[in-house]
Formats: sequence, structure tokens, C-alpha cells
Amino acid sequence: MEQTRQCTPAELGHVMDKYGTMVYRLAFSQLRSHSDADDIYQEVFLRYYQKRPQFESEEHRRAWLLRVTINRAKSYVTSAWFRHTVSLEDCHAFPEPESQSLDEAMAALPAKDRMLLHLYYYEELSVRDIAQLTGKKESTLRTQLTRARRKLGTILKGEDDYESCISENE
Amino acid sequence: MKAAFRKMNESIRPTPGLEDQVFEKIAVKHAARFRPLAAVAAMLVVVMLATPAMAASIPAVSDWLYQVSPEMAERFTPIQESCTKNGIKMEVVSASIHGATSEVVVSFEDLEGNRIGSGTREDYEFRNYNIFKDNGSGQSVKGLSDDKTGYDPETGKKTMLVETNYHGVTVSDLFGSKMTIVVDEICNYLDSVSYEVPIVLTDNAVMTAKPDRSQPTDRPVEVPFDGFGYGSATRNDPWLTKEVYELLTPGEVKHQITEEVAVMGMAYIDGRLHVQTRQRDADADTFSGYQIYLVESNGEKLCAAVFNTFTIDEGDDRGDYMEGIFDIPEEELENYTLMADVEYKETIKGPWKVTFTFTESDYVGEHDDGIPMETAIG
Repeated sequence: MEQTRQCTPAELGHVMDKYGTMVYRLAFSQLRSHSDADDIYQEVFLRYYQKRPQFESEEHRRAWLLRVTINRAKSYVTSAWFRHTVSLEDCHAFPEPESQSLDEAMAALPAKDRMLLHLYYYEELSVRDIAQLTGKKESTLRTQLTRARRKLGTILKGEDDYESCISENE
Repeated sequence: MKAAFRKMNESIRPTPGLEDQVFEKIAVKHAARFRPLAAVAAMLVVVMLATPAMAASIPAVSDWLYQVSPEMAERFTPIQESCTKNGIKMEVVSASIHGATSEVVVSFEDLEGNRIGSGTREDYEFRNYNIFKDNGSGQSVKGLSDDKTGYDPETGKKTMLVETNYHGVTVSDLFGSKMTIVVDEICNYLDSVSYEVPIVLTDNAVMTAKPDRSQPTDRPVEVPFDGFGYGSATRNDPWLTKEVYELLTPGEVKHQITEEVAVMGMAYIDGRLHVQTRQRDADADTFSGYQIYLVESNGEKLCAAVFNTFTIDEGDDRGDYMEGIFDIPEEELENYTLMADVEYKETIKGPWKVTFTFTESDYVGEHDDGIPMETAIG
């Protein structure tokens, strides 16, 4: 468990250097907006600075940051005035068409599925790790993961380059 | 699949300067207020975009372009590629490349009614991307500034200027490159409806809650909650620094405000008024959101000092709870009216997708700052 202690700006800078991209990408995967991901990024690290947690290991620190990012993103999504639309300024243009296609497919999934797929495929967490992060049962997550993969596959169906890409990397 | 996710995420990076902004907020003790203010600001921008006064002053696409900038209007060449779906026609009208930027004029027209421009404001869920001939390079997208969106009430046509800034791409890469513009859906936001909510204190039990599961506590916790919202409070509000919080235990519906929103509890805890509401069974295509607030007898609006949200799985659906906490002593409560503003929207589903090719004739020759065209852009 983490305890609290003094956190210096230099330490915070180090943590942001190391985990900033991870936090940002997870937030972006959930909110699909650069400005919202910016907000979440700031909140997560401000919270880190204010809480000044101390961890037993880097894995524990990483898990804390992932969990807080998930919670903050969920709070955004469920807040009263959150809008499921992204302004043009917030659009992200992917350099590769296949990434654009995958992003479009991900965008069509519910936020909880996007979170699960992002943690599983991008952060490469195990279902057990995700269960600990989210407080959900492993069996529930496995079912959800299966459904999310199926939905993603259905959306991507017909895009030959992705079909081959998925099968190669499974 | 893992490789595909890695590749997709490679180009997603924190906005430059974000780290500095965190340090700035740490330095400034009176840290920024939370989302609601930002949301209001964003909404104002969107409302400004759709304001009828501005719309009425923009007669047609070509005239509109001249109004935006005569120089800009002259540098565009026609594209006129369109896509019609669900009665809405999206047309890529014209395009131009100048310096490190491409500009594309896109218009939307409702062929069956007046769904475009009829709401209080609109959101267009835009994506655009380029496919280059020889290489794929990163780009950032900006667009839709308040002086570059127009609406002609006579034709019902909405016109936008989509700007794309490129990095690490040469001019020759752009010639012959294809751009695809996709709009997934258009949301028309309708006027919000205000409801007066009876102030009747309820007898909900108090439950303990904590903001995340990593915080150790000796006290049993009934619900982990997602986080705080800062209304009129600042981040220094003592309520926000507790280890364990006290909230109302959800129970039966106390008052149904709309089909989607209900009051689940209303009681005092530690001298503050807690108003708990639940959103459930909301149609994502028609329900936009809601907010609760108090209005003093002199008409002054009072938002919650703090609100927080949590979610409870409720059978085949889930309840999204929000608990607003107001700094109003119980003896003064009779001077206030509780209100709920509920907003709906109309969603027109796309996608509308147009792909076109940039040609050399779209190029106007120089960077805005006068750098010769042969110079690599970006």
C-alpha cells in the first residue's frame, strides 16, 4: 500500500516523463478528445502531487496512475454535461490508414470496452491485473473482453488489411 | 492485435506544454476550477458559432468565403465532391494548400427538412486524414474557429473551413495525396427544459464512500466513487481532502424529474445539503445531460460547491448517480428553489465520407510568412 510523503516538483516531473504518455493515451482512448485528455492528464498528476503517494514498487505506482486515470475518465463520461462528441480541433489524424480504421472501430465501442481493450492490448495487462484495477470479477472481465473483441471484429470485418493484421498478432 | 494497438497509439502524445501547465497549477495555489466552467466556456464557443445574428450575415458559400477573407477566397479551387446520407448532403466545396496548411471548405445541407441550424447549437463529429503517395506522416488538425463557420438561413446550408496543419511533409507529398473527411454524426442540441424540484428532505441513511480503492481506511466503505467535481468550491475545500466521505445511501426514487432523471435523496450531512440524483435509461442519441442548482429568492443561481459521481449496476442497466453538495444552512433553505435543467438533442447519424485529391492547382505558392514554396513544410 502507498503511504504519503513529500513529493517534490522534480519528482513529479520525473513521474510525468515516465508515465505521462501512458496516462494520456488511456485518457484519450476513453474520451477521444485531446482537450479532455489534457484535462485528465492534469488532474491525475495534480492529484498525484497532492496525495503524494509512496509505493512499494514501480508496478504499484503504474497501477495507481492507471486506476486514477480510469476513475477520472469514468467520472467525465458520466458527468452531467459531458458530451459524446469531439470538436474538430480535438480530432486526431492518424498517419497510417490502418490505425485510422482501428481508431474508427474503437470509437464505435462503448467506453468500458475501449478501456478494457486498451488495457489488455496496449498496456498488456492481464485480466487479473485489470480486475484488480477496476474492482471487477475476472470472470466478468473475460466475458466482457470476449464480447468487446467480437464487436471490434464485426466492425473491422471487411477491411482485409486489418483482418490479416489481427490474425497475425493474436 | 497488440501490434496494431501499439501502432495506433504511437502518434497519440500529450499536448506540448501540458507538463508545464501542471506545474503552473501547482504554483498557483488557487488552482483552476473544475470541468463545469470549462464546459460552459466550450458551450459558449459552440453557441457563438451557431448564433443567428452571425448566421444571417452570411449569404452563400462564395460570399461567405470572401467575408472570411478575400485573399482566402481567391486561393480556393473547386472540388465539389459530395456524400448524401439520411437526407443530409455533405459536400467538399473547394480546397487550397498554402504553407504548411491545407484548407477545405465543407458544407452541409438538409435535403429533407431544416435539421441543420435548427438547434441551439450543433456538434459535428469530424475526422479527417490524409493518405500520402509515398509516406505517411503525422499531422495535426485544427479548424472551426468562430469566424470560419457560417450558416445561410435561406438555403439552410452550413459551411465550415477545415484546416489541417502538417508536420514533416513536403509540398510534393501533398500534391496527389488524398484527403478523406468523415463526419460520423451531427448533434442538434435543443433548448434545455427547466424543472422545479420540490425541496423535501428525505431520511436516506448515510453511507461511507472513498474516492479510490488504494486509500486504506479502517471504516467500511459501501461505494467507491469516481471522483469529484468542483462547482463553486476550489480544490482547497476541506471536504475534498478527507480519506472517507459521507454520502446518501441510494434507495427508492423520491421524485421523478424526467423519464431519465430522478431525485434519490435530499438531506443534510455535516451542515451541508446533499442532493442525490440518478440518471438511468437515457437514450444516448436524444438525452444530452442535466444539471441541478438552487435559486435564491433574489434570483441568484447557486451551483453545488462540490458534486461527485458514482455508478451502480442495477439489473440490466446502470444508474449514474450524481450528488451535489450545497453550502446552504438548513435554516436558510426556505429561501431557495431547487431547479433541474435537462437538455435533449437530436442526433443525425452518418457517416458522411468524402475522399478527394489535392492537386497542384490547389497550391497558392508561398507560406504565409513568405517562405518560398520549394521549402519543405512543417
